[in-house]
Parts: sequence; structure tokens; C-alpha cells
Amino acid sequence: SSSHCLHARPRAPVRVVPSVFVTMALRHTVARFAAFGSVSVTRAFGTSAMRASDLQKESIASFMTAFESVKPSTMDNPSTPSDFLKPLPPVPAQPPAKLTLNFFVPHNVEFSGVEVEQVQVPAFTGDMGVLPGHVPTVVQMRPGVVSVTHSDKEVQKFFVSSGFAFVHADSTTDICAVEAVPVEQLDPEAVKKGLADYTAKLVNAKDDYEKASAQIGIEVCGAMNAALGN
Amino acid sequence: ARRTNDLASVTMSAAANSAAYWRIAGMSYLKYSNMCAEVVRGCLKEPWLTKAKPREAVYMKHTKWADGKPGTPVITEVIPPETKA
Repeated sequence: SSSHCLHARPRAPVRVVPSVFVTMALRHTVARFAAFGSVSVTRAFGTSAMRASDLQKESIASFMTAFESVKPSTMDNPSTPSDFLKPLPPVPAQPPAKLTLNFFVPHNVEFSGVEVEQVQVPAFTGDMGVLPGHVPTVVQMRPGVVSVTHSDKEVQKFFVSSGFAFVHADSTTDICAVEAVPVEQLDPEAVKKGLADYTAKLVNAKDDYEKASAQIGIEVCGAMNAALGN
Repeated sequence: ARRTNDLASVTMSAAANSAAYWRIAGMSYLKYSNMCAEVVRGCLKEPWLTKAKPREAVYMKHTKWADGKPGTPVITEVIPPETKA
């Protein structure tokens, strides 16, 4: 049985910090130009007064100044990875009215950019409800039911074999699973039989690997049983 | 000092009670995830069960190269059983 923990809306969503590696690479290159000018990119990373993207722009700007002072006149400035990246969507001041849901499995797109009111996700630590304005999270899912609430009347339930759910600062939710089937497509008889088979396999398991395989079967069949209401 | 920095041996030697049971048994997350998916596929109702069959087939060809020459290819093929008992 899983505990319901609906996370409250936070005050200020935390922005995901962009790549440290770009800044590190630039610092390394700037150090080589440091002999030609007084450039220091030794500011501590993560000053609360500045957001990470401003730090990054600063470090790129100071690198370009140093580069321009030593480059041949016909050479262009180098591009940086941020030139090619799509800018992160702005974090809205107010949480949006609805979540934007992307729900993918390798062979199918269940939802792509669909606006929904709420999504319930079976995390390892318990069932988790995602509402617009949720704190950005990465959730590892256990085999269980993902419940998509389009509106008060319309709730769709999918049984998910395992996977990850990502909630972003602008309330875009990505759910990725290997198998996600509507609960109606599960066969209760096959589930009961599977449970019995895997329990027998666990008893007859010869080594750790077989034991773990049987335990996986028991875990997933047990979750499917619970999803079907047994 | 560790004799090898191989990821598998590092994770195995880490405290067993901090890892999931499948990790301790030597499975990677990918293996665990795919096994869960296999179990789910096996419990589907009829039209979807046959549609899920092609997803279970796995075909991989693995060739080690050395000195610019390919070695012997290793083919991994997993065909789902014809009849599900």
C-alpha cells in the first residue's frame, strides 16, 4: 500500500543549473590567455546574488575579451555550446493553470504537449501528485499506476513498468517508461497466474540472478494485481 | 587500494544494504527495467498481446575491432517463445 503525499505548491521554483562543464572549459582556455591580460574568472560558483546563467554569460564575455585581444584580425570568435542551445523556457512568476504533459514509451507517444490538471506518479518513495507549480523533480518510478487527470470527470490510468518522471520549472512534466498500458488492457487471469509462477520460481531459484528475476516478476505482478483492484 | 576501477566491481563492493536487490544480484537498471517491461507485456489481453510480441525480439551483433580489422562477430538474438504457457 502506498502513501499519498501531495506536494504543496512552492513559493519560488528552483531553476536547474546549466552546465558547469562549459564554464570549466572556458576557465581553462581563459587561463591560457591570462598572460596577455588581466582576466580573472575565479568567482565562486553559485553566488546567491547572481543566477547561474548570468555567471555563465559573464565568463563567456570575459573570455571573448581576452580572445579578441590576441586573435588575428580575420578570425571569428568561437561559438560556445550556449549559442546552439534553445534557451530555457522562462520560469513563470505565477504557476500556470495546467500542466503540460509529455508521456512517452519507446514505441509510442501517449501524450505530447497535452495540458492536464494533475498527474499522479508511482514513485519509489510513495505515490506522488504533480500539480502546476510543482518543485522541479526527477522521480524514479516503481511498477505502478500513472493517473492523468484531464478534468474532474476524465481520469486516465496507465500501468507503467518502471521509468522516470521529470517535472521542470515551467510545469512541463515528462514521463518516460519502457511499457505503459491502460489498466483496461491488463488480463487479471494472466496476472494471477504470473504471480503464482514467479513465486514458484523464487523458491526454485538457484542463484542470486534467478532470485532477483523472480522477485522482479513478483513485484510487477503484485503491482498489476493492486492496479486491477485485487 | 582497489585493483580495478570497473564500475561493476565498484558497485558490487559497495555496502550491499544500500543497493536494490537487483543491483546486488548483478543486474543493471536497464536490465531491471526491461525485465519489468517483459512481465507487463506477458500479462496483456489478447489483441495487445500479439501486438507486443515484436517488441520482445532482440537482435544485436557485436564485433570487436583490433588493428583496423574486425574480430569474430557475436550475435545475440532473443526470440520470444512461440506459445506463452
